[in-house]
Amino acid sequence: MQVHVSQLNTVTLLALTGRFDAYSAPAIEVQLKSVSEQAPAYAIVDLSGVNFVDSTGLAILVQGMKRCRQHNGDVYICGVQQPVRIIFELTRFDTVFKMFSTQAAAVEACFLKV
Amino acid sequence: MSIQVDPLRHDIRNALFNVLSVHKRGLEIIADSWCLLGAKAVSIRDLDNKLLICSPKSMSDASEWYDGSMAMMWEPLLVEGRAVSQICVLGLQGVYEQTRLGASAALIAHLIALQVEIEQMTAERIAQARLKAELDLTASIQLQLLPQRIPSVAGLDMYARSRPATHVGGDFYTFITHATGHLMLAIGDVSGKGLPAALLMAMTRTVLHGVARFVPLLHPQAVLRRVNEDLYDDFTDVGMFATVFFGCYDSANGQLSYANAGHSPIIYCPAGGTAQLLRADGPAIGVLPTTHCANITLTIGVDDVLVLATDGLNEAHNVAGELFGYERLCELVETLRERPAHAIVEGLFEHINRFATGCEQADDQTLIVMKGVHV
Repeated sequence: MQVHVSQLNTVTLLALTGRFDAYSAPAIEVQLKSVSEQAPAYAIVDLSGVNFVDSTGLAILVQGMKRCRQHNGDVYICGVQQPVRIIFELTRFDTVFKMFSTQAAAVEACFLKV
Repeated sequence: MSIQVDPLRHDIRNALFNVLSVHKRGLEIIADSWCLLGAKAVSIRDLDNKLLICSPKSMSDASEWYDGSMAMMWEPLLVEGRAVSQICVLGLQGVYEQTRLGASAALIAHLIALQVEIEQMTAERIAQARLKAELDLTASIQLQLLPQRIPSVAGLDMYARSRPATHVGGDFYTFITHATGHLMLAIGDVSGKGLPAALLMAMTRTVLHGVARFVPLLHPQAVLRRVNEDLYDDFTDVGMFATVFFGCYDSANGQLSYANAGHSPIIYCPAGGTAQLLRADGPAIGVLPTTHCANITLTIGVDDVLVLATDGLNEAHNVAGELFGYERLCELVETLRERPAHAIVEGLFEHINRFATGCEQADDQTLIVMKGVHV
């Protein structure tokens, strides 16, 4: 999996490509942890290039979300494609995260918060 | 007749025997030849630079005796290609003697290094064997945590089986018979796999059992809410979660009341209808401090099939990297629905095995099949 990290003002954008599983999760964990230690602790995870996410990947997103929320921030998810979308819907992770169809929408929502 | 061996030769022989437990005759020859070639002192240091042997014994290192009138031959001890220590032989200065002494010192160095490597490998093998024995024991304990038999319930034909991807896994299923005779059942999946998932699986199962017995019947939502409250902090500390489907079946009316905390796939295939995926009604245990699962009631009439599976089934992949997926799983349930529960479980595993031929099982796979039958 590839991770492209960029900064939009004070918001960190992580654009992932490929499989988001146990092998690639540690790299994302490190990124989200460092976001949670910043102020404001907001990250946008763009999953538009991800074709598979397993429970370890989801656990990393949940952990990152909890850490950021503890610091009055959040992790927003955007661009989720099938078949990842169906996993989020069936398991109700779509109610846990703030989900956006496009990166632009996620960025806009984030900027209103920070 | 006894052969007199000069004291230095005797010392070197013994010293080499102490270091090297093999090739005794060879060591004897080397020690003797060193002496014949005019060796005056030998010392060998180990991995930590600790003196293994020094002969004569009166010295702390052969190099101490070096006075310029002798040749000093150093030979590094290479273990796995890395110089870890050295062997030092003091001898006469003649070219012939030096060449021979040097060559035999190199041979000893090689033998010692070989022995160190063998000892290290043996230690690793012992550690590995111990770890494997512990894993085997953990696997058998985990197996004991799964139901040893499928309860017999009026109006239901039921079967279940779990197969972990590694020795142990994070999937579980359980049946609890309530004092009233109602059957309660659960299937769950802890995020991740292997030992960490197995530990949390055991914990989740225990808490679930404890809670299920004390929450009023037919309130599965209350059970999962309480389990989440009990486990949320622990799951947060370790950055994991568990999906759990919990149901309570009433034989009197064939109804299953359930609550589903983030678990999938759950496939309902009514008699004569199409198989459909049932969405969870709240997120997994350990994700949010409070969960809001709902109580949902499903009637399992005659020939209706309910498949409770874990994501290891739909996430099985073939050699091309293609996932088995929800669609194939639903189609397969429709194909197998005429069969008894046991045959549906085995049929699902068999088809997934065939699909994933040549690929390692990446995640735990667990199935409970409930099929309505005439009472």
